[in-house]
Amino acid sequence: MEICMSVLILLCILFCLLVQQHYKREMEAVYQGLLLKLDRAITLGAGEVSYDESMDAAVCERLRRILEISGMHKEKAQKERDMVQSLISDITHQVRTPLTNIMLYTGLLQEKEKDGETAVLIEKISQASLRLDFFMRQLVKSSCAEREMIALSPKLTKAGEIVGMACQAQELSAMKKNIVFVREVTEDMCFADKKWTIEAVANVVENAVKYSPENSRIEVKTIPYESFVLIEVKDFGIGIKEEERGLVFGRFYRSEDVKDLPGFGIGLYLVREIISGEGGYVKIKENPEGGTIVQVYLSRFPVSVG
Amino acid sequence: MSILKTENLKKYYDTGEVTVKALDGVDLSVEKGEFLSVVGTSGSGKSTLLHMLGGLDIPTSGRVIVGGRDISRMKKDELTIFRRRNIGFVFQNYNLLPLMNVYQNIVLPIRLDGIVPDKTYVENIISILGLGEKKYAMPNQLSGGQQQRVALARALAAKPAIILADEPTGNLDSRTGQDVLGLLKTTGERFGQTIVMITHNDEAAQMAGRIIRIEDGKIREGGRS
Repeated sequence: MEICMSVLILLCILFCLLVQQHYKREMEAVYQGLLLKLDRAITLGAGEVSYDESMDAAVCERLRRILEISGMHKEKAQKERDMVQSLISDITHQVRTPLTNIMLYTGLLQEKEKDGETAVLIEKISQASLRLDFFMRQLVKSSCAEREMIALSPKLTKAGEIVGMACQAQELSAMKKNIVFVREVTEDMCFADKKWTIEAVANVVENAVKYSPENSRIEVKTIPYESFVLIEVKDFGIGIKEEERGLVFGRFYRSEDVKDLPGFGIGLYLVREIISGEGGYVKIKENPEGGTIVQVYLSRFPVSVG
Repeated sequence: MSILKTENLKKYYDTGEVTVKALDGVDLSVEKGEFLSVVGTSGSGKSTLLHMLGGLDIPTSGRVIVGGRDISRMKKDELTIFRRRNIGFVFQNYNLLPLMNVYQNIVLPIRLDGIVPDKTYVENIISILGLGEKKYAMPNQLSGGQQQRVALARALAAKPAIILADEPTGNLDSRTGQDVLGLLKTTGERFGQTIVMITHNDEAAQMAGRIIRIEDGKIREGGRS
C-alpha cells in the first residue's frame, strides 16, 4: 500500500514537472516569436496580422496600431514639409520667367547702347541678373535634393563610364580656363545609380574646375578596393582648410575664402546625399602638391534595403 | 539626444608606489548616430576610455551613462546582458573563434542571448559586407581585411545601438584599413548606429564626423573634422 502511494506521488511529481517543462518551452517559443515580430517591426514595419482568438494575434494587433499611430504622425510632418518645399520650388520657378525676360531685355538694350554711362549701367544690370539667375538655379537644385527627388536605384555600373560622363559634362567650363583632365580609369564595376552618380561626380569635377587656376590640370582616376571602388578627383587649386573639410558637406555652407565666387553651398551636400544613399561615402583630403583631393567611394556589393 | 555620456570619469591604477591616472576627469557626450574618433598616443588613456564606455572595466569614480542608464552602477550580470544587447565591439585582433565558420561566428552573440537569429537581417549584413561567398569558410582561410569584416558583421548582428571599435585597422595595411573603415562608416549610417572609434592614425580618424584628442587621461581638444 505504502509503496503504491509513494509511486503514485512520484508519478504525480513527474507529471507536474513534465507539464511545467512543456509550458516553459511553449512560453519561450511565444516570446521568441514576439521578439522576432518586434525586430521585424523595427526594421520593416508591421507585418501580416492574423485575426484569431490567440493572445499572439491580439498583441500583434496592438503593435500594428502603435506603428500606425507613429506612422500617422510621421506622415503629417512629412506632408507639412512637402508643402513648404513645393512652395519654395513654385516661387523659384515663377521668379525665373520674369528673370529670363529681364536678362533678355538687358541683352537687347546692350546691343542698342554701345557707349557712354548708360552702357556701364546696363552692364551692371546684366551682371546682377546673371548672378540672380545662377542663385535661382541653385535653389531649384537644392529643393530637388530636399524633396527626396533623389530616387536611387543602384545597378551594376562601370565606374570608368561614370567618370567619362561626368568629365564630359564639365569639359566646356574646363576649356574656358584651359584646364586639362587627366583620366586614368580601370574596368571595375560598382553598384551605383548611373544618372545620379554622374551628377554627383560632375558636381565634384565642377568644383575642381571652379577653384583651380587657369592652365592647370585635374586628375580623375578610379582605384579598386576590396569592398569599394574609389573615384578620385585631384585638383591643384586653392584647397580646403582642414577644419572646413567636414563642414563643406553641410547644407548652404560656404567657406569665407570663396565668398566672392558665386555658389550656394549645395553641391557637396547633394554629392554626399547621393553617394551615401548608394552605400558609399565621400572623403576630402589635402593634395600634398597643393589643392584638394575629393574621394568618392562607391560600393561593390549590392545594398538591399530593409 | 546624447546616447553616450561620461561625467568626470576617472580611472586610477595603483601600482604600489605610484598612482597611474589613466583617465583623469573625462567629460564626454556622444550624440545618437554620431561617428566619433578618439585619437591619442599609446598610453594616453584612450583604450581605457573605450573599456569604460563599454562597461568592460569599472571606473574609480565618475559616471558612464549609456542610453540614459548609469552603467557604472549596474550589477555584473545585468551589465553583461545590457552590453550584449546594446553595444557591439570591434577589436584590433578580430577575436574570431577559430573552430567556428564565418556564419556561426556572426550569429554567436545572438545565440548567447538565447534568441533565434533574424535570418533576413543577418543575410542582409553578410551581403552588404561582401561575405556571401565566404559564409562557410573558417577564419584561418580569410585575409585580415575579411576577418575584420566578419568581426564587424558580428558586431552588427545583434543590432546594437552603439559600436565601439578599438584600433579596428591596427593590423591592416592602409588600403585594406580604408576599406574596413568605409564599411564601418556606411553600415553605421545605414543602421543608424553610434560609433566610437579609437585610433592613433590621423587618416583613419578623418573618417569620423568628430575627432577628440586625449592626452594624459584628459581630453585636450575636440572638433569637427
